[in-house]
Amino acid sequence: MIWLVWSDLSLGHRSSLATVPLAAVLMTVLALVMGPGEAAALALVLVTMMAWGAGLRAAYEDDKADAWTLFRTLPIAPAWVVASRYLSGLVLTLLFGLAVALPLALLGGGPRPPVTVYVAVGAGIVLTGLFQAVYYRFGYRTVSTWFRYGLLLVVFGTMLLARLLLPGAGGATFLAGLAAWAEANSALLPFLMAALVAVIYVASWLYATSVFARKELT
Amino acid sequence: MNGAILRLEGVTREFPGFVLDRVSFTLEPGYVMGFVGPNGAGKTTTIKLILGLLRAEAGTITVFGMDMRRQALAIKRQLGYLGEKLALPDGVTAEWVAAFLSRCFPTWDGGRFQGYLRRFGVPRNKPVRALSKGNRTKLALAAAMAHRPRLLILDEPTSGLDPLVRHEVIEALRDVVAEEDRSVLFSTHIVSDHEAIADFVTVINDGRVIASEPRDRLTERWRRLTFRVDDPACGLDARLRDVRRQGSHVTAVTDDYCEDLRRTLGRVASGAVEASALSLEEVFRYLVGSNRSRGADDI
Repeated sequence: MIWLVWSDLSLGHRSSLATVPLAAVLMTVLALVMGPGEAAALALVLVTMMAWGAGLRAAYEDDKADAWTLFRTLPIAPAWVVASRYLSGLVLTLLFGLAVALPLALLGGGPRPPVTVYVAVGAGIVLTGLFQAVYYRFGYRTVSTWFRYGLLLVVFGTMLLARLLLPGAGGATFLAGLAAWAEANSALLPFLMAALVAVIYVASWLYATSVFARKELT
Repeated sequence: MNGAILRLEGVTREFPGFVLDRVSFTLEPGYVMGFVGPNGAGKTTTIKLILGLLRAEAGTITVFGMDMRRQALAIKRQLGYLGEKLALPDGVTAEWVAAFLSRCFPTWDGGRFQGYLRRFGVPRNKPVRALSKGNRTKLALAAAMAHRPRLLILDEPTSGLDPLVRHEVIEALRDVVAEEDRSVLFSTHIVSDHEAIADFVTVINDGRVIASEPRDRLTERWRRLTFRVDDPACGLDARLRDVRRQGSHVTAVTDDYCEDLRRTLGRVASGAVEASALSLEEVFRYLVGSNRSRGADDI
């Protein structure tokens, strides 16, 4: 299994691996210019965009090389093919997170990166899982279209929903309540978030495995 | 027949606008089966069904006596496949391919792979994107054969190659097949490729198998006949097709060349009946042509 993950990293994710140091350099520059606090706010955008780009690039490489046909004609269980992509995607997202966290931790003066980095890595993992599930279900062309417009929809949809559902004082009260709950459960919150991320990732992994094993390659 | 390498019985699959209709044939050990048909006849669909990339709606497919739906990994360990679209990533080298496939196939033979590369003249350290199309095909062929598969499935491997390179690939394939006595299912619409290596021919057209027999028997029974008749308007045997008369001179083709036909024609012919062999390509043209006109009559 490790050799399959390594093959996926060194082939499908080769160009994305090369962007890991780039992310570190970019975050260092941002932290120096804006200060670590403000730069940390951009970690979410940076990590999710890089995770999305890495998934898209790997799917493109698969499509170009007709990799699904290759794998399905080799004595490799479809579950292994999907597992290697999920594990390599996870490794890559963690590397993106590390590339962003290190400059923030070093320039921020503390041994630990700000909490926004953990949120960014969690969001990157969730996005990777959802991307792969759609990819194995519908293929490269569909996933590239869906996620292009899907991301826009999520960003603007969230803003619109927030505006519609949380107007005025009621919204502010709700957000304040949420913040208070988070404050009161600050020890538990990281574990809850991590568990939620893991559940979403594993569920999408299982779904993708089941879809790919039954998929017809016309 | 129990030891068949590959057996299809009544395999059916329907798509919008196309039906693969009760396809049946058997490939025995050591045979090279030419799987011939025009574009869109159902060759690739049949191969995808054999490989388990598609599912049949009816019929059975057994490879080495096993069912692909239940024993896919065991079958694929003994199978080599080379498709029309070469499934090799651009950035990899022959060395990388060897390292990767050696993890997939327990019977991978690195020495054999290197031997094929030397023999085919494929550089080991150049990335696939830097190889010519012919060399890419040869690399994929070497990769498909280095684990000593019991069955090699080739789906239009020479498609898109120029005639010279195509000839090289066919030569390489013929040498290897002759030396190693392996079973091969070789699909192409380029019939002349089969002349070189196939010893069994299955012809498919419009989703139906219209012939499946040893190539020698096929070319034996198909003959072009030339003879003279005393009465230019006389009736001729129904087994003759594509009959052309020029005065008393008659040329025709038959798919049933036998002693009985020779005797029958001997009675109407004035002088000898000359019989010449048809090329596989001509046989294929007649087979597909008659199948199409029969289809038109049905309508």
